[in-house]
Amino acid sequence: MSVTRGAPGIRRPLGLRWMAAAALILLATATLGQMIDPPEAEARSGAAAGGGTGGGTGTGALPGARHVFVINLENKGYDSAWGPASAAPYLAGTLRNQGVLLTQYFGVAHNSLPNYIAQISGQGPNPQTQADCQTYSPFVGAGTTSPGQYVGNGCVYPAAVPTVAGQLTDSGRTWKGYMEDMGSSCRHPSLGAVDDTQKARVGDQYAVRHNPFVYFASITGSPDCARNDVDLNALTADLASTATTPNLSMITPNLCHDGHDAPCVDGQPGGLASADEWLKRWVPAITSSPAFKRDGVLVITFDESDSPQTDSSACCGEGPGPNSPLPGITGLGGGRVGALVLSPFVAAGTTSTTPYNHYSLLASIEDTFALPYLGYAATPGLNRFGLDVYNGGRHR
Amino acid sequence: MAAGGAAGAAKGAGFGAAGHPGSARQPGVTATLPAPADSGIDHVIVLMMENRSFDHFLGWMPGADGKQAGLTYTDRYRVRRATHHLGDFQGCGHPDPDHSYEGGRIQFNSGKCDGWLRSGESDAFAIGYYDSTDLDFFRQAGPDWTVCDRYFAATMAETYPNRFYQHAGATDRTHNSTVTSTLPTIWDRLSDAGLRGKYYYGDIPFTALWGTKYLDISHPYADFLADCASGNLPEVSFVDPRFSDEGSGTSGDDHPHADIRSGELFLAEVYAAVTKSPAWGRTLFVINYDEWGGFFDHVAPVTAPDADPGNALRGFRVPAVVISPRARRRHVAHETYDHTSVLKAIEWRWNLPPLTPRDTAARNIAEVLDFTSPPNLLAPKYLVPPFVAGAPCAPVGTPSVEEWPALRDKALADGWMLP
Repeated sequence: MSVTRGAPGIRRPLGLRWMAAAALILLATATLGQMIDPPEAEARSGAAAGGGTGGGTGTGALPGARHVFVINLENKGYDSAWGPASAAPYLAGTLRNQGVLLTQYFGVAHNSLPNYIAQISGQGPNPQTQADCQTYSPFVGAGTTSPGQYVGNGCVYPAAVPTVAGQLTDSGRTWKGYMEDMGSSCRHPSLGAVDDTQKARVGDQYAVRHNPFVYFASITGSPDCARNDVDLNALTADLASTATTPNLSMITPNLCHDGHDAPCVDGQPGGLASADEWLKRWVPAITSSPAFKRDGVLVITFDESDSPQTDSSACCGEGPGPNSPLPGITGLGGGRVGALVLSPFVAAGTTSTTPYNHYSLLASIEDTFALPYLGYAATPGLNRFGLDVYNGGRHR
Repeated sequence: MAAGGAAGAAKGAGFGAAGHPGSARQPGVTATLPAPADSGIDHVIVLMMENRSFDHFLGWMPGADGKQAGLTYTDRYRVRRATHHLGDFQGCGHPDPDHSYEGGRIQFNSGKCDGWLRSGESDAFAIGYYDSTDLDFFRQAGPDWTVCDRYFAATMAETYPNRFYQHAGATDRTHNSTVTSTLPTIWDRLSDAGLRGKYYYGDIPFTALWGTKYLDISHPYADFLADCASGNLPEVSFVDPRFSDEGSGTSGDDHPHADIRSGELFLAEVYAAVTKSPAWGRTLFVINYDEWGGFFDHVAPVTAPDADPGNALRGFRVPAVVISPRARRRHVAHETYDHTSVLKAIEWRWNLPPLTPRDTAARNIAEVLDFTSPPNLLAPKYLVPPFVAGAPCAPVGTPSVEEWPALRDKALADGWMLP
């Protein structure tokens, strides 16, 4: 479209728009989280569009959340998880009616691990992470490519590779990973050793590959790992007060309760039925916590669709990565999985049809805390949660 | 969704009341219908185009309740954006606006009709509009004939559900899919009554969604031109545009990113064929659009009686023009119609039983005709010049689900011979 008659705010000469945009980006950086008045947001967004970076960059849609919770379940495509015949009626019915369902939310890869890594770092998959890192090998690479991608192959990224955990710590905020059955904090194999948690055991259904924090040397090499990457049991006490609730909580049920196994090694049914039972216990604990009720956002999603064979579709401009030409093994993505967002800032029983993926989730978390986008979260034009998600009218 | 519809009903009830600035509303000129056999209508022709809202396409129409310039809508990043005149004929560089069952309800927003920029990947294209200078056919034909400014898509959903409503007065799906349908249709009613119905298709037959059931009444578009020329038209004809190649701008169905000049040429060709036909003197010709395509419209649709409450909320207004020797000239009809109002006219004319609660309750679109004056056979000739199509649009955003190739494959697998 070359002519846009009658649209205010887009008639100024391009040079002026760029200058205004630069000033506003500085302003936004200086006033973290502050609402931008609509006219300013429009100028800023318009300039971004003029620069070919796609969607608007205004942050005026943010409601002022301070506590984000993410629950990752395992391996269910959109229809089986959220459809009318879902085997998780609590998730697809009771909870769905309390929040906004993101019908066009996609995984970014197959198999599991690269999806978790994407959520906290924006790094794309490589052959070893796609194979769920049977061996806990160091990532070996040479150089980077835009946007912020480390080129190479392996599991444990060197200390220079940034994560949202590091961003939060560096900006004076807090994060925790809550891993069911992990027992001792920050549990992972020795570098170069075989990962012996690939199959669940009775009494220990923890899977290292569903705990993204231990794949970053910046975390495993820091006391933060023992402090912040903890067993799920710690969540109950942490939810007791706003002061003890981290700004970001990444929650992974065990291999039975995340729906991965069916039946489970301990005789439970597993699949969506066991995930539903787990959610009945933990979601009310989160949503009744002081931090959530004040300014919380809970995202419940799935890492990937059932399998590369069933759905490896992508959204949101995801393309071949520098390390894996096919992030989804048989396609460009991890398939359509959907996501549910519960929050005081969300209207119950609503829907968003805007396409999102795990990189969008990272960008949305970074928006929430006014942090720069990491890796593919910086993809130009990538959709981030806006008024389609924060549609409840209540903003802080 | 029924609750949302009810809220919308309260808002939409303003229709008919005074106070639509800039619209010269003419109250109460709907006709008392004559006995069907005395109606002077022996042929009904329905041409259904694709994916344009009333304000976006015909909001400039004199005497109609249209709004174009001066509206603003807030996008998902809380940026207010203004409606604007579109500077090209395809919308290249923009995603196809969301027009799904779910996206329509985001746009509807409990009757506020303000969610155009908060659904799917819809961007400023969704709140752009064309004016009369862009539309070589409608600029001439719209003001000449009867335009309906309260004609809604039958259901708040995408193409297939609305096209099902046109054939069947109901839909058995909320999204495009090629599962074989068993819904009874107007074709069954005509056949049961010993009457003739023909479905003419451009490239892909929608009737293939019933498997091979309607193979014998489905004909390529060239047959329509021939039947018009000979005057050997059936009682009821549905005519569809060519659906393929929307991205290249040549499809002629007006679905983004088709070049709307291609659609205007197609409309002019059908208009010329109908009005030059020996059957013209006893013909009712309706041009409509299947659904709003995700484009803005300021009038909230309301619910209609429906066997399935989930489908009862109508879609947003779409362009609709009634052309006939019985049609009022230079007229705007303000009563509420949808696709099933056309079924209602067919059922009234030939005394056919209704298909569903929807067409049972629908207003008969024949009521916009003038049965008191003698038929006026004059039909102006419209010059719609040929155009040079631009380059095909490069894909933008997440590719929309394209069901036409799937339907073509289904038809071929079922043994259809396609042109």
